[in-house]
Amino acid sequence: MSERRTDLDRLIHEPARLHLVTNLYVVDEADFVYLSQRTGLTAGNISTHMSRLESAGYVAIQKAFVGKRPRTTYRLTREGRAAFERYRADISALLTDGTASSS
Amino acid sequence: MTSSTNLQSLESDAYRASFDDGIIDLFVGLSMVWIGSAWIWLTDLAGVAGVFPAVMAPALLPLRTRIVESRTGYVKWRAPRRCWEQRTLLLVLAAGILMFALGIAAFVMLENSGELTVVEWIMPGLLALLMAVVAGGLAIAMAQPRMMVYAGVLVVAGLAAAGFETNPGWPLLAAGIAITVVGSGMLVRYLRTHPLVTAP
Repeated sequence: MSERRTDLDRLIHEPARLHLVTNLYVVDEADFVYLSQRTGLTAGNISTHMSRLESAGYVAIQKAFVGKRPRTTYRLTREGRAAFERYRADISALLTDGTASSS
Repeated sequence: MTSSTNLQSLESDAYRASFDDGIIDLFVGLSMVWIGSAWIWLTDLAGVAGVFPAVMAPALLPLRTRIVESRTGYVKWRAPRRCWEQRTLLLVLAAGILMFALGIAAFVMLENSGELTVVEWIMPGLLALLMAVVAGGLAIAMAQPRMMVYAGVLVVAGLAAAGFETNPGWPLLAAGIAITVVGSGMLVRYLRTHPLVTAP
């Protein structure tokens, strides 16, 4: 009997992080305000989840000033994009035939 | 693949929503009001018609950035979207220049042949029809269906001006007022629904 694996990337699988990563995947980079508007997450939530994604090497964070306003910009790294694409393939496989083959 | 389609629509929705502030509509509408008014009431100073758009255009981007980025944030679109946007805007510009050149060429040729009737008939609405082409192009470039409605309004106003043989400024003024009203409404709604957000 073949082993059934459901080892999805848990770092991305968490709903708030999935929301953030999905929104970042379709753009080059975005700031905190944009992500907050798109996801409805609070500043604290975004900051916490982004720190975890940054630790895993999935997201690059850049803090800068534009005029007198601080701007925190987030961008998916190459690893982050690859991880999200793997996650999409895994969740798709899981939902169609009940298996997730990679992680 | 469904997930790709959904991601594409997520990107398209976000891109479309990035123009919900109405500032570009307001700029286009006010420019048309100015050009139309100058055409009607400042006939001896036709050059003044281009002053408002020429002065305001360079100020538009920083002003819009300032208003929008503190409310709906900064986003850099992916390369395919940026290329598509630039290519479409260049095509709109090229189409506008081409139509203008063709209009002048047709006018000169028909004037020389003494058959100006058709061109003369369309002249009062020509400016509005040219603006309709630009609005239609912007509708495609910015993925904004309402710009296509503006193009339709300009076509109707242009043809009406041709039919009633009015001053070419009237269709621009009428369409400009309508677009300004829409743009103002959008901006007010945007400012109400998107309060200032302070980054952490």
